[in-house]
Amino acid sequence: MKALFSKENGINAIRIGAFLLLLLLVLSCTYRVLSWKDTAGDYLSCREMLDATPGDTVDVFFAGTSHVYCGIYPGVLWSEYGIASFDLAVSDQTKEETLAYLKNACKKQSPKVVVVDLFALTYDTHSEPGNLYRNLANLPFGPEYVKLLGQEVSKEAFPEYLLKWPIVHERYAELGKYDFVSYPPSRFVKGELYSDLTESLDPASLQSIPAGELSDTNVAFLEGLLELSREEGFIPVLTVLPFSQTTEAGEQISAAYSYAENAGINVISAEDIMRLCALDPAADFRDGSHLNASGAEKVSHLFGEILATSFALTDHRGDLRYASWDRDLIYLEHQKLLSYLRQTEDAAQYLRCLSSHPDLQVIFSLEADYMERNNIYYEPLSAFGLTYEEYAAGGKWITQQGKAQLLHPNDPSAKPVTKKLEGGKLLQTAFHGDLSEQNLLLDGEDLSNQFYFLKVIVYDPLTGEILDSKGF
Amino acid sequence: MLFNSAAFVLFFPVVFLGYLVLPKRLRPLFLLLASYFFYMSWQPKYALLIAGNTLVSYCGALLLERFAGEDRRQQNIRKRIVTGCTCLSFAALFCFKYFDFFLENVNAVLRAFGGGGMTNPLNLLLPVGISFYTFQSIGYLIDVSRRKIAAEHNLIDYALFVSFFPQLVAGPIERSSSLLKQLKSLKEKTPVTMEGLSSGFALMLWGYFQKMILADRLSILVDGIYDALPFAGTIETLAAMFGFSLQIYFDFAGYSAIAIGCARMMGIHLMQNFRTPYFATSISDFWHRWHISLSTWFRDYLYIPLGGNRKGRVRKYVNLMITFLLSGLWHGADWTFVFWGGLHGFFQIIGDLKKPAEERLMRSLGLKEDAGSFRFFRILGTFLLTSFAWIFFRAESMKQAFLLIRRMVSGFDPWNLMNGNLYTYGLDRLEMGVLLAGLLIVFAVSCLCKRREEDFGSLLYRQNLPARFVCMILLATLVLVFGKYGVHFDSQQFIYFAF
Repeated sequence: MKALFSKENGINAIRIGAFLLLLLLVLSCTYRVLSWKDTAGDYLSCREMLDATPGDTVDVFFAGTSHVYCGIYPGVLWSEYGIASFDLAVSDQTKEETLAYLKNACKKQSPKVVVVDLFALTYDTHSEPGNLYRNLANLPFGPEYVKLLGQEVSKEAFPEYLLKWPIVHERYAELGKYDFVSYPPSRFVKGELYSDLTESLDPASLQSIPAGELSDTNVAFLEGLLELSREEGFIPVLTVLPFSQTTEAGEQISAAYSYAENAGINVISAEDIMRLCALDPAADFRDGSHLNASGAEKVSHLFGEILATSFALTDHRGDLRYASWDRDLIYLEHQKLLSYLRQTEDAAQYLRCLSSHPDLQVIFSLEADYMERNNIYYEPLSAFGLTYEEYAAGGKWITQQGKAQLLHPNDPSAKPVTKKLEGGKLLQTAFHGDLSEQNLLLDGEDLSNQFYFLKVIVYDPLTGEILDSKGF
Repeated sequence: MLFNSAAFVLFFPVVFLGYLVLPKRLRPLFLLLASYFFYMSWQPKYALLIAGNTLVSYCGALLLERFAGEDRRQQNIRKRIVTGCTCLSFAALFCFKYFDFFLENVNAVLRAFGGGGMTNPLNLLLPVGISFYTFQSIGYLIDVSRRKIAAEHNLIDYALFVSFFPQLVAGPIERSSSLLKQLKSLKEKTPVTMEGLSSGFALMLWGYFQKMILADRLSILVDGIYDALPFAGTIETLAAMFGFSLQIYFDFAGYSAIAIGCARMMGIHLMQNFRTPYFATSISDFWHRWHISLSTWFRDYLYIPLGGNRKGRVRKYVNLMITFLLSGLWHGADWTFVFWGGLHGFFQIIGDLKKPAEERLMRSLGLKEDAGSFRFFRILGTFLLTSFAWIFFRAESMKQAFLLIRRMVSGFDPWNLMNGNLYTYGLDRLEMGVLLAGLLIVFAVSCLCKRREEDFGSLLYRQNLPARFVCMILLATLVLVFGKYGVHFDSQQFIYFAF
């Protein structure tokens, strides 16, 4: 025993400890880079968004699959009714995951109402293995994670999922910028994903189907939800956001409605939503399973109205603790704007639309023979306070609260100008000749006019990212 | 339980900690239980085979001790005991590994003479590592009969010698004079040292690097080309041939490094199994560097007893051929393995025959044998010959092996080196880049190891502490990130587990 505590052993123990500590540090940093961050697309991570939301602020959770994050915009509920809601939803989310996510979310939040979309009742396993480990990564390591593993993962694969590394290490082949720095929207978005795609649906596929027999796993899920609602003190509401359903899926969902009716749970059925929102199968769907932006806005309005009138929810607008919902709303509006900008080819329309968004910074550059185009750019640019003389001289401008400030004239002798933008991006302007390269750089990316007389870059200070850039 | 499985990552630290904290007298028993647990995690019932093999050789050795006299009668009895025990051990090996192959050939002969098949094959699942522990226990019996060592009386110590988990399933095939002695001493002293811990851990990491980053990546490329052999040309078939040469080396050397490192951490020294074999300057030199524990086993227990090189040139070549053909058969129950062994025997005989002529030619041309360029071409030549022989080892049949050779000769396509066609066999540019970078690292380290005549673990241990830390952390991170494992990847079993 004496030998065990000798000086030499002590030094060796310190060395081993230091080595293990360093190894853990390096591995944890590497894991942060490799870990899944994307549950809704483009690094928009539900877990990171929830972690970034202040504790005890969420009043309503919308839980479910991609149907939820495509179909419910918390920004709409916030702007219309001041309801602090959150989409607790990832792609292909199973029933077990829904309960586990809710349980985990309730550790930090005290929701009054939880609206659960029942699409997950139509399947028992993920459609792709990729979704299984992506969804598992959405839950922090702990007893809930281990319990969920036991429910969803085979005995053989259990250790690999438990260690997590074997799941994510192959991501080295697909690492991008946001694996190294956090994705800005994940800091304030409330779970939704904006989508402006449209696909026409057959109205017949949206009609209700008579109830079948509720499967054992579905009964267990609904019982589990009721138990959780009692434990955590929230009111459960069941819903189904309209989707093109098969007979089997429709039977399970109708059976769940019956179950809810017997158990005294509130239900807002897909048929109610179709009718009350007057959803158009030709215009309000992204694909057979998801609503698009137009449909989501209508449905979000409906839920806002129902929640505001049926439950005693506080209007939190103006409360500083809820500032992230304001940012979420701005982000949603910017997404809407982006959708419009991408479809607009006319410079005048493009600029006019931007002039009504003073919170965005517009960087524009006029070079070469633009004056020969009958001043087509002048009228919309004058909305940013540009005089005709300034317009005729050309150069590079940036707007601040909707007012244009000259950054650099089209003069080769003028010194290059560097400006740090809100959000951290570095803007560099110079003039090496008309339509030359390196005249306009944003964080090293060359956004010079090159082939265009007018180049417009829309910078979003909220995210510190370029929202759009276009040449005319 | 595979060394590159999550289960082993959990198993080894637990066993190591238990080994450290348990009283010394309990250590052999603890390691024995851990070894059986390790083996049974794969197929519990096959633990009975090791137990049976252990009991046969244990009792055989005790019997040998009773007939230790020098008179002829006692010598004959000893011979019978060794033969009996060896036959019993080989009977199990034959049933599980060779019976179906034997039957297949007998049936083929019967059919050729118009007869019918004898019976159905057994289709038994090959017990992992059966060839390794069978050879190890037979080696022990022969050593006892030759009175090189005394028979072991403690069954736990002996059972641990046969089933010691780091080398149980794929060697190195240890000698009782080394391993058994060390295992017996566990009860008296604590063999764990800082040097053993550090160099053992580094060696394990190095083994993982070779197995998981290189061998498993190469296997994707090699398998891809073998699957598309009828359409492959010269470049692809050459890539498959050289790729497999490297794959099998990194696979087996990687496994051996993990096994040796694992044992070294516990203060147990296992014999070196590889000494940069692809730096060999002749086939004979290659066999002094490749799977050393097996080649020395065959040398000591087969080649020398057959007469070795003491009974004339012809007999020497016959002995050499027998040894290599059996070595080929040891690797697998298929004619491809036998052919591979025969090819190596043939290369050695030719090498020996051409030696006088070669020496005369060198003298007349004034060539220096120790010149770097001359050594380089000899290394290259040896690598080409061993790589060629590996074609038969890798092929699923002789037909497939000859198809590959035919495609190699007839499918002229040097443009495939440039047009990116090689990236279509499962390794894209990034993966190929990782592979090449890994190969460069291994090449550099191998050169250092060869120059210093020591393994990676010992080499690293002689560096300063910060350098050791950086290397080990870097290796661990590289393995964890770039290693081929996990849910997406069907982990390749260590190739030598099948033998």
